[in-house]
Formats: sequence, structure tokens, C-alpha cells
Amino acid sequence: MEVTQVDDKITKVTLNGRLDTPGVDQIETRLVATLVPAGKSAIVDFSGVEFVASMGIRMLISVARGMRQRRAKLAIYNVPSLVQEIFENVGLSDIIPIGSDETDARRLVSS
Amino acid sequence: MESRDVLTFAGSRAGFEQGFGQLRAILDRHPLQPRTRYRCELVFEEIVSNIIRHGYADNQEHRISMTVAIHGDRVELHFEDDGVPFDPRQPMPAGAEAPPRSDCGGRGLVLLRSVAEHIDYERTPQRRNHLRVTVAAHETT
Repeated sequence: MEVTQVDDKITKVTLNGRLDTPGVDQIETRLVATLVPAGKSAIVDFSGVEFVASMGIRMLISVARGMRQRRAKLAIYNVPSLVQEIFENVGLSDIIPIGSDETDARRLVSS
Repeated sequence: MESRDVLTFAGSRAGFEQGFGQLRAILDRHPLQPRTRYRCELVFEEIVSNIIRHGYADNQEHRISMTVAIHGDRVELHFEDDGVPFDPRQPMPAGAEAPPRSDCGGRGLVLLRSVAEHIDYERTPQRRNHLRVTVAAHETT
């Protein structure tokens, strides 16, 4: 997990590997601590994420809701096709906007 | 190429990782489409993590057995465990059909159903769960 500041309003997180039970166990505490208390909107690059299961989706929704309570937005982008199918199966985009690329994701959290 | 492998592992977090490693080694031997492979791993993740989190009403050691049968057009995943009865074919609680909207759980069940071609469940008189999940081994889109 890599964290960079795009500007003073947006944080960028790059995730890699698997968001399954072991993968979520490894990053959830840090991801929540990085994004939720700050109250800043964030975009998450999924290009390096090869696998997402329900635990990963639960984590994303939990983070998005925590950020929303602080009036911050979360968007994800560069989602690989097989992961995108999983997101579509559970209707994730109803809760977390999914952009095609970084520019699109920045637009989604800025609107 | 057809094959049949049986693996067993503890019904614990350590067992989960051991079993998943065994599954990956089996799948590595076959030229499966990426979508088929993803679905097999997802089925394992959702079922085994559910058994470990919710399946045991005591602190005893438990074992999970899994058979992986790879045929030309499908992969059959058969899980056997001694946890509490759980039939994933049963209707989900109200609201769980749209988990992100309600966030009331059942998301793993939605995923399981979305990637499985067929699900069969039996609870034996010996108090064992037999869950058979079939995943199509061809590109569906």
C-alpha cells in the first residue's frame, strides 16, 4: 500500500495484491487510519489489485462510510476487468464511484 | 485434462492459508482461463472463511476436507466440514440481496451465487456439511 498526496484536498492510495481475508488483515488498520480521520477525499488506484473477495468489499465500504461522515469522498479507478466483474455483481458503484482513470477519479471526488 | 485432488486443512486461520496454498498449487497444474481460476479462488475464500468465522460453536479443533475435480468444461469444488448446518442455497435475510445498499451482511453469499454455475448442499445424519459448487471452466462473456 502506497500513499501520496495529490494536492491539499485529495489523497492517493495505490493498492497491490489480493484483497482477500489475509490481504485485508494486513492493510485494513493502516488504510482506515490513513483515510478516515483525515477528512480528506481520496482516490484508490486498483491497477495492481489482482483479486477482491467479500472481505475486501466490506473494507472499502467501511472506509467510504467513515469518510462520508467527515464529508470526504472516496473513488477507485484502474480496476482490472475480473475485479470489475465482482464489483458489478454486488453493485459496489452504488456506494463507491468507480472511475476509468486517475483524472476521472479526481473528478468524481471533486464534484 | 481431468483430475481429482483431495486436500484437508484445519478449520482455523492458519488452516485457511494452508488450504488456499494447496488449492493454488492444484490450479497451477491446469491451464484454466483467468476468470475460471478467479472464481475457484473466490469460492474457496467465501466458503472456507464463512466456515471458520461462523461454523463452529465450540473451541475444539476441526478439519475441513475439500475435493477439487477439474473437468473439461467445469471445476467441481466439494467442501466437507463438521460445523453448524449452513445451506447457501436458502434465501438470504431481507435486504441481503442488495448488500452494499443495506450493508447487512450476505455479501459473500451474493458473490458465491454470482460465480457458481450450480450449488448443492447436504447435511448428513453424521452432522457433516457437504457443499458442492460447480464453476464453469469456459469464458462466459
